Amino acid sequence: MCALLCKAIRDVRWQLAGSILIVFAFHWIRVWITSLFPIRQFQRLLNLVPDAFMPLLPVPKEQIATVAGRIAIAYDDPLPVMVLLAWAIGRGSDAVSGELGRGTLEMTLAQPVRRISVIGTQAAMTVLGAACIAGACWSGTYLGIQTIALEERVSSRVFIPAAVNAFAMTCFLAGLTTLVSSFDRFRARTIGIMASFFAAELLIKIVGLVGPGLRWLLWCSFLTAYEPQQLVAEPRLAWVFGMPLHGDPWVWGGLCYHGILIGLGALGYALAITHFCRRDLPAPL
Amino acid sequence: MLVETYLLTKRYGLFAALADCSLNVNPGEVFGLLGPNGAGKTTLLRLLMGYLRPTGGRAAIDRLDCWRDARRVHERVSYLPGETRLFRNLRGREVLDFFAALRRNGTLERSLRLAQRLSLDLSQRVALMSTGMRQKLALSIALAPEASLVILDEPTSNLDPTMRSEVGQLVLEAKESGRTVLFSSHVLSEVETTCDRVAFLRAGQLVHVQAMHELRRQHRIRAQLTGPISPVPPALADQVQVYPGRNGDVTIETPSELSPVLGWLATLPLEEVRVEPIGLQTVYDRFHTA
Repeated sequence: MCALLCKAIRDVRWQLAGSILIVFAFHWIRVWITSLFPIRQFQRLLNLVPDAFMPLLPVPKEQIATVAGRIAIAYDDPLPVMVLLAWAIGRGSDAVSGELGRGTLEMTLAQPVRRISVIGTQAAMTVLGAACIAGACWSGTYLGIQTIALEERVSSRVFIPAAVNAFAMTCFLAGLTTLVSSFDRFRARTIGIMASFFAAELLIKIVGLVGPGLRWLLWCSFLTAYEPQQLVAEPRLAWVFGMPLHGDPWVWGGLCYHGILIGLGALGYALAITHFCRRDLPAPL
Repeated sequence: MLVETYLLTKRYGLFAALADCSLNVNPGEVFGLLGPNGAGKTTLLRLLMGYLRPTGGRAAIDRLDCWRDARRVHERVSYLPGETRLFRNLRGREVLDFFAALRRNGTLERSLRLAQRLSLDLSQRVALMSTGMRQKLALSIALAPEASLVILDEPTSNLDPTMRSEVGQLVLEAKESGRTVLFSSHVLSEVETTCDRVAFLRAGQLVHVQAMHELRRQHRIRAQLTGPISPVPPALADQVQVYPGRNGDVTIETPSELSPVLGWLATLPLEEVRVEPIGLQTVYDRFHTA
């Protein structure tokens, strides 16, 4: 088990280090960029956004036009999301189909190790890595707030729920990717399936937000539970399952978002482990 | 019995990769598997390793079910896959370290000794090793554990003749140390020199099991007749088979010891006499000629 874990760490170390460095630097720079533009200028910029695009904003524009709101955009920015996506899909796809495709599973499983240990160490490393990357996101924000003069005083603690939400989303994607990987034998196919899934889910969310009468589509996208900006803009929602807010009888809270994503990710892992422990292992091609 | 299969079957839809295979391997035996590609040799070995779930029958090693008790089975087995793929990003030494750490009674020292014996440079990354070097590295991993059963799937493929004989020697040493070896190969000569018994597979079926000590007693005498051949004496009737040819030649086969037949042979009107042992090739051809 220890040998498997050491090897898993060795396999991921460069990707993990690179991912941490990128998101840390990005979130720190984001705070610096926020400091460069006064809120009034940003409000003017927001006023130029056509009304048709307003539903795409995760929170009302008044809440975005704050220092905290602008820093929180970083958690929705394509770059850190792509880094998290690459981590989740990269590691999840490697767990079974990657090893099978490379043919390296044969010799490992010829030793007295359980299949559950092999996939379990991969899963542990992936989840730990996701926590490190999400932690690096928050650390970048924290360092920025501590070192850069901002218009308003902002507590770095309000960004913790956003980082936890990013971690939860990565867990979900990693769990699902591992499930697909456990059925597959070609890593490239697993990556293709998951990239297509993510793109489809993104489109579903956009159509659900913009399309009149199509809000029900939001129930079909896991990204509905990825709302880091909302959790920063409404700190009251950060650590509750939900509450009535702004006239809405019920608005989901952070715990609900995190719970759904982590729960589905854990389910993905459980099904992946179950299937992997029962499946035939084909000879490498 | 160390290895026991009973009506072991693996089907993929209608295709039977292995059907109703029942065989036993005794402790301390070197058991060979022969057959053309697709005969079911690798399927049989993968079923024994618990990589594949049988669709029928059962397989057991040391009375442990190969599928359900795979981990405990692997404590008793060391295995070399047919096509060995190792971690390309690691150096040879690191690969040995990793696999030794997965076994409770570490095997690193033995692995290193084997690597040295096989003239393997362990400082190279696997990605930069030739196919033969990778095979040697895999052999250093597979032959190191003090497992009671060694399963080798075509261990000498990709090796040069010198290393092939070295591997044959390692197999014999494993036998001498009381271990059981089960291996598949396409090279009849190495099976002939190392195995105690050989199983022949054809299209997923076990068609014959040949004990090598019986085969080694069998001989074939080819000769030209210079006169009419006399009938086989009743005392030798069950020890000799005579196959007259069309061009005045004759083939005489002895399924048992040659010495009792020599006296009778001396009385026959023969010339250009050639006495040769019946090898595995002959038995193989009986089952696999097109």
